[in-house]
Amino acid sequence: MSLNLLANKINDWVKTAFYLNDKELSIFRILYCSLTIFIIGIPNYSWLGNHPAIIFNPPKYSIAALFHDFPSAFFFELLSLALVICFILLLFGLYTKTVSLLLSFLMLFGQSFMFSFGKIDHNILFVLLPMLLAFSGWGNCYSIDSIRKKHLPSRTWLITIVALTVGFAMFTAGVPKYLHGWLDVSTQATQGYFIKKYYSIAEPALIAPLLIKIKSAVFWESLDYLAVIFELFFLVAVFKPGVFRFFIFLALWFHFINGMMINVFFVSNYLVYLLFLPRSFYRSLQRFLDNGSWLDHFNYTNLFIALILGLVFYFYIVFNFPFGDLIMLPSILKVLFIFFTEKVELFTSLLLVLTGIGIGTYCCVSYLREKIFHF
Amino acid sequence: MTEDKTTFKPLIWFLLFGLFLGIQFLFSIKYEEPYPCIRLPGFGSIPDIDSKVEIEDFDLHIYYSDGQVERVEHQEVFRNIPWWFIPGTMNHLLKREISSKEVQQIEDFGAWLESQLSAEPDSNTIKKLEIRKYKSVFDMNAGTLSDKTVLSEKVFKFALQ
Repeated sequence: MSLNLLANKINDWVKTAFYLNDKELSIFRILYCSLTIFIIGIPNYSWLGNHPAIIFNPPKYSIAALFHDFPSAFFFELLSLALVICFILLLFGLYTKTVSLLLSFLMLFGQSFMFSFGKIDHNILFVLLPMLLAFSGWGNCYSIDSIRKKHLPSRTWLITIVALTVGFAMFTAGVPKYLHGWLDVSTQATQGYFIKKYYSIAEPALIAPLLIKIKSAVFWESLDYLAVIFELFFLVAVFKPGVFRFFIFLALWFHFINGMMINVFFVSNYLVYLLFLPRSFYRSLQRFLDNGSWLDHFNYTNLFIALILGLVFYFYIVFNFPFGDLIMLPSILKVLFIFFTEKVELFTSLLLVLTGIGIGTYCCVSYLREKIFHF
Repeated sequence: MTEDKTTFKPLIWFLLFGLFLGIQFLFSIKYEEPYPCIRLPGFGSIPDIDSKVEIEDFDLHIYYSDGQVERVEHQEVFRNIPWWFIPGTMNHLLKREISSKEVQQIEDFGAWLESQLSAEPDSNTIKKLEIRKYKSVFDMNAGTLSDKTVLSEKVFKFALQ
């Protein structure tokens, strides 16, 4: 095979491996923004401004290292406000390319100060995603830019670059584990780190009190092996999209189990993984957005899905977990909940009752029309 | 939508980006993790030696001008910092050398402490803060935790207002 042919082949693979068309990618843009705004919460840096200079300890190689102290609280409030505006502009697709770049830069700037307490958190995938997709054309559809006829050339192959980034990031977690001997059966690293966490945090994670009782070396060593193999092979999986999607599915469980063990959930990574849902998911959303009204799409499957979503919402509210803390602005969902429950309980109750009656009536009428009266 | 027709652009970007990812990762291993850096936590070295794990803990004592001494939880003092940043902050304070030019920083720290603990500046001022770092050892076979031993300590003295 000639070099040119090989290059062509790999080039085609990069273009098509994780292909989504402009519409599907634009739907992802909407999901990324709306889930951040409504569920997870927009990153918040306003709490950073009121700390004494003596505790300022930025990473040696970072933007914050150019400073001697935290900037003022007002500065961080402005930065947080700018992020809110950027997320809203990106949701509606106005100046998508510029806003995508700006959003990532602002988050990187804010995070470099947030990590000036001697620890770097690793939500980098969520932060860099808008920058990686800025030139992809993810604002070409369902956007104000599309109404303004401001289209970018379609570069949906940038999704493959995102896949490479995700795979590589996981790989970087596996390499130090492998090099430091996590596969040595005479030591159980996962158990060791779990014990360290268990005794050093105020509130142990949900299943931690159960796990602390497990002393089986086989159990803990198998977790060491699973972690190393899973993280190292994530990079290899990039080259086989089907396998990569399976690894994404495993990653959801991986983060979830970690969260249950040591309270580290990596929730923001979930939004990046969303990009790798099967294309059929985006196709059906696209069909829905292009053809249908809400009422045309009512059926009992949708109702079932709505109930499941309702349950998720319920658990989200009840446990307020794992979302929402100091480092995130309260999401709209949370604000609404606080507003309705604490400020105007009566109004909320009425609203809920009326909504329930409305939906119930609608379902009954639809059912009777379809099954009994046949019209 | 117009398709991007540039023949090898995706391949070139894919390779260049892959190269960039590798270089920044090697840099983070050889020197120190920069920010930003595309990597996820690797944890690193094995925490257990002969089935024993060292666990670190911190202790704060506040000395007031009226002679009172109060032990406070670090979560209380640093309640406006996410809990997972607190150990890093405590370690930083323990190692922090204060030059003569930075005396004002100590005073600012004292004022900040008072605001965190709602002490009344007129009557009962914070005179001193003592930070201690402890170590205890968890025996993975026996499932027992040893008594604490002091690893390091540091005292911050504040000028009385």
